Amino acid sequence: MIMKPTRDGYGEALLLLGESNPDVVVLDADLAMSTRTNWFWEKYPERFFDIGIAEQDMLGTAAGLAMGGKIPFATTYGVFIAGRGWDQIRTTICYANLNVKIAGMHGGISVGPDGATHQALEEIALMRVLPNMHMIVPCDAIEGRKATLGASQVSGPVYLRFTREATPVFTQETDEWQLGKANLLRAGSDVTIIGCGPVLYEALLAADELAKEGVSCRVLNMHTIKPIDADAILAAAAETGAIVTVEEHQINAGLGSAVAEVLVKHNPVPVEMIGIMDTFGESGSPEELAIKYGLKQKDVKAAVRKVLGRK
Amino acid sequence: MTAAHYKLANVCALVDYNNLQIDGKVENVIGLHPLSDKWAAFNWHVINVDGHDLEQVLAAYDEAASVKDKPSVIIAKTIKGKGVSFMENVAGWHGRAPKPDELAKALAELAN
Repeated sequence: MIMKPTRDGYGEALLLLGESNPDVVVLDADLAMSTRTNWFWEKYPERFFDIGIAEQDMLGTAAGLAMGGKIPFATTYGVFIAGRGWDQIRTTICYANLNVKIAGMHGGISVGPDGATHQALEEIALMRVLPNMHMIVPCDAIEGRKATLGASQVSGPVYLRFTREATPVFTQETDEWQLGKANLLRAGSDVTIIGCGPVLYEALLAADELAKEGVSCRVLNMHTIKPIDADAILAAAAETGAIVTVEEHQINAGLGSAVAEVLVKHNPVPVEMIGIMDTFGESGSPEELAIKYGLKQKDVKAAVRKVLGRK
Repeated sequence: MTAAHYKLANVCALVDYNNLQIDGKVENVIGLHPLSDKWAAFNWHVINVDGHDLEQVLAAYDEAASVKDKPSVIIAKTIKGKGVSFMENVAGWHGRAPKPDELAKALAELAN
């Protein structure tokens, strides 16, 4: 299994866009080495702008560049850009429906030793509430690249959430990727696991183990949180009758909530949610934290067993 | 900081410096003095004018356009509500629209 951080896919996509589209410009807030925008910077220095540790300024500058016809990719850690920059994202970018792409790196508790202050656990909630915004959470480096290229084709604001750690690359180059369309990772009939981000790999491991125990799990990669693929969710509800959601994000107002909003209006089947349970993280190794905060294969399995009991 | 760092000489900001905010006089809420020095410290070219003297304001724009190595800011000293006796320098008018009778009275004063 190839291990690679999803942020590498972002850096690779920017290089491709740099070559194919002269209007693409990249901004960073003093974290170019971590965010992989340094690859673009080295190759296209005249189209790279380091704004320094000033996320709100970076977003305002990106908005101006978008108004001038550029396609700006504003980049820094998710905890800084989604939280500190939310007002600029809301009122300057989304209200005017400007063509600004926002990349939030180091999402989730898997940032590890940096601890709670740097573990972004709220971006899905903060972004999906905004009109005009698109919200994408790639699950591996390949999807990170495809999603970034896809974002460049969208007219309007897009938020892409990336992660720091090298994680399994489990999608294929040949897999089709379309904004707002969930990808089927495993076919199944007893229950559907809907996840986003690298933690989906734990869902796949759980599904494979459960298959051996006679439980047939459908697994959906809901890489686009907004607009959410309601058709895939409702088909899963109708055909499997129970849902488990999996995300490395606060349990409130994240992917699980977005799925539940669709279900409750049309077909309220039982749902169990895996995520950060309304608590802050802490310093630790990514593996230690995933175990402590219940983001492992065994946690997904337990949630599947629980939701099956409620069918 | 960004505009000065990237030497964006075609950027010109204008401060309507009327010294009033919603909670009262700016100097009593959170003072800005010395405002010119603050902008200068951020490496902007600062021009101070009387905001009610349009010749001064136009000259300031010309001066800003002539500065080629840094952004410019025009700090225009103004009186909020100038020309309407019951509005001049009254913080309460920051966030409310005049009622029809107040509007008529204000327009009449401005016409004189």
